[in-house]
Amino acid sequence: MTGPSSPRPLVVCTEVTRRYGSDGGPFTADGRTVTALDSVSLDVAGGEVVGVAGPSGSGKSTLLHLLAGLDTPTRGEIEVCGTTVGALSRRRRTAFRRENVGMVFQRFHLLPALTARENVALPLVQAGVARSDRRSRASELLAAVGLDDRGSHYPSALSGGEQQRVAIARALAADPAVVIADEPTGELDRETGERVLDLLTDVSDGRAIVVASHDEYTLGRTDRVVRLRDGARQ
Amino acid sequence: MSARLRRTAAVIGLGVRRVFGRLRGVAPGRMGVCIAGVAVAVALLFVVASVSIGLAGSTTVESEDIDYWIVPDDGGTGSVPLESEGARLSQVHTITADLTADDRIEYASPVALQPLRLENPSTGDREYVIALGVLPPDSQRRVADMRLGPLSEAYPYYADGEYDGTWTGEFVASPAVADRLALDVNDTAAVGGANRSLTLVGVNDREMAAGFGEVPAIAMPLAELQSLTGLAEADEADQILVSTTDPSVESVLDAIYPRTEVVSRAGLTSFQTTSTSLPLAMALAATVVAGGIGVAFVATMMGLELTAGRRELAVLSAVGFSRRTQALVVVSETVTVAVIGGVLGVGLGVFATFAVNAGVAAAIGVPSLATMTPAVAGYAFVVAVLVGLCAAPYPLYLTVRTDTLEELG
Repeated sequence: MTGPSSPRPLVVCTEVTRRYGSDGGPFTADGRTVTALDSVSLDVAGGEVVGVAGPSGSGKSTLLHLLAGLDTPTRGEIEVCGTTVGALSRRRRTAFRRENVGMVFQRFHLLPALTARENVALPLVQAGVARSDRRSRASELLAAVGLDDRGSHYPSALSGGEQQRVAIARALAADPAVVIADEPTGELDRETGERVLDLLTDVSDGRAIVVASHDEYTLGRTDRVVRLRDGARQ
Repeated sequence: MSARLRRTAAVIGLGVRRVFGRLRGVAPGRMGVCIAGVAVAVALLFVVASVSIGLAGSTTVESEDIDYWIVPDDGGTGSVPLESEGARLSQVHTITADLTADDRIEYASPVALQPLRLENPSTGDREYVIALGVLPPDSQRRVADMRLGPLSEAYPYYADGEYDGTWTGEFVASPAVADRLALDVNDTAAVGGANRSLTLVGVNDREMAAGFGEVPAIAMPLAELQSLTGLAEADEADQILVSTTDPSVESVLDAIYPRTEVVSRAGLTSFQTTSTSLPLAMALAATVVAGGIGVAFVATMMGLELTAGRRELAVLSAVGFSRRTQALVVVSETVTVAVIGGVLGVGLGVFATFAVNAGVAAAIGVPSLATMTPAVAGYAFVVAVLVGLCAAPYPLYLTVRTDTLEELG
């Protein structure tokens, strides 16, 4: 569950291809086969922050969804924390994601009917963590992202930057080895975005962090950048 | 607590929490309308069920110790032991004597309910009352809320099986009768239309309750009432009350008269303690209507809520909630909405029942048409929970159809 530094990369993508359409994928475009990702290989070691760059439609989100186990590759292999994700059943992928992967979204995706603390504790609910432990873990993480006084606030009472910090805290709640962030600063102004990036790089110790963005400033804060165009690495 | 139980409790708690979170101001509209819909349906059920019980209670005499009633069937006319007019039981003294000879039966009495006009000869006050004719018991037994202890157990007027014994004229009056006729114990009252007088031997400690509320009533020896009201000719009464602790007696009672019904008061049979099926039909119809409306309402509104919040389900999936857990969240939300609606509905139902009773009292002078009991509240609440459970499949169907990638992409 935790992500200590390891000599073996935590994320290993080998010749990963994802096609939609004729193979029964969820998105079809007039019966055509769409290749969203074409033979992409990528390794991310523990403690490394890797940026995934590319214009809209380049396959960034598809790659992230595959890494998170939300989708499975048409061809190739994805290994995360030593587990071949594509070989798992949907149910096991969900359990795997819960234990190993934290996700941060561009639009935060906090649940509006829950407070910040409850949002952070969300991944621990399915894990069967006791209420008091969930609460203390959430408070600890909120303090780590500088929002210890905002735990009882609903998302609607938080600024965009604060919501994204809550989302980062939620991504870290189950102490995952891999954190995947899809355009984490896309909805934020530069100053707020910088604070969020600081936070993401701060938590990278031992974890593999993958950040998708088309913003060069954001990409500049990562250890290295993988560039995609039309689903393939450049 | 095991991790599995803890998880289940936490997931259900999450569903409950999300409902209250929305109601607190995040998105109260649809949820509030949904709860209001359930509340109205449950309140409707509560009122109709209360009216049904009131109606049922008005058609059967209740006694603290009576376990069975033999009552005529609705269509019970023309048979030998039944009087064709008014569907009464006949030869009741003989039948009751046979019943009381059975060791399993503690007490049995025919009961005749007849209107009488009483008059206080000293003051000229007149009052129509419901006279309850019974066999005086050997204990402080109550029938129809009337305490029968003051009546002399001797029953001399029918001592030799003929209506020619010593006339006692004893009667026990409800407080309202004693008050309106200004009668004290040992005072006499004349019976309108008959050359007989009655003597007050006791005042009941409470009013006689019937489905339509409290009625001015007296209790007196059956034979004397029969003699006053023309029921002596065929030895008639309206029903026979039988007190026993032995359920095997029921088959004996069933065989006594054709075209009669033996009803008991076990469990929630207050709906059944009537010789007419109208109250039961009303209660069932109310359940079906309220349940149907509730289920349709909750399913539709929760479906809309879920459709608008599919992304939230996708987020749950992204943070590791399995489909089964998401389903449990959705079911707990749906049931929570129904339960809140149920609680509000019962409260609304109590208020509406008071209003109905007040309205009926003002309009036609009947003190209370509907009778509220805790059982009705519990019943309405259970129906609300069932509404939640029955409405859950549609939101569940939408949950299963939610595509995480599509919502998050």
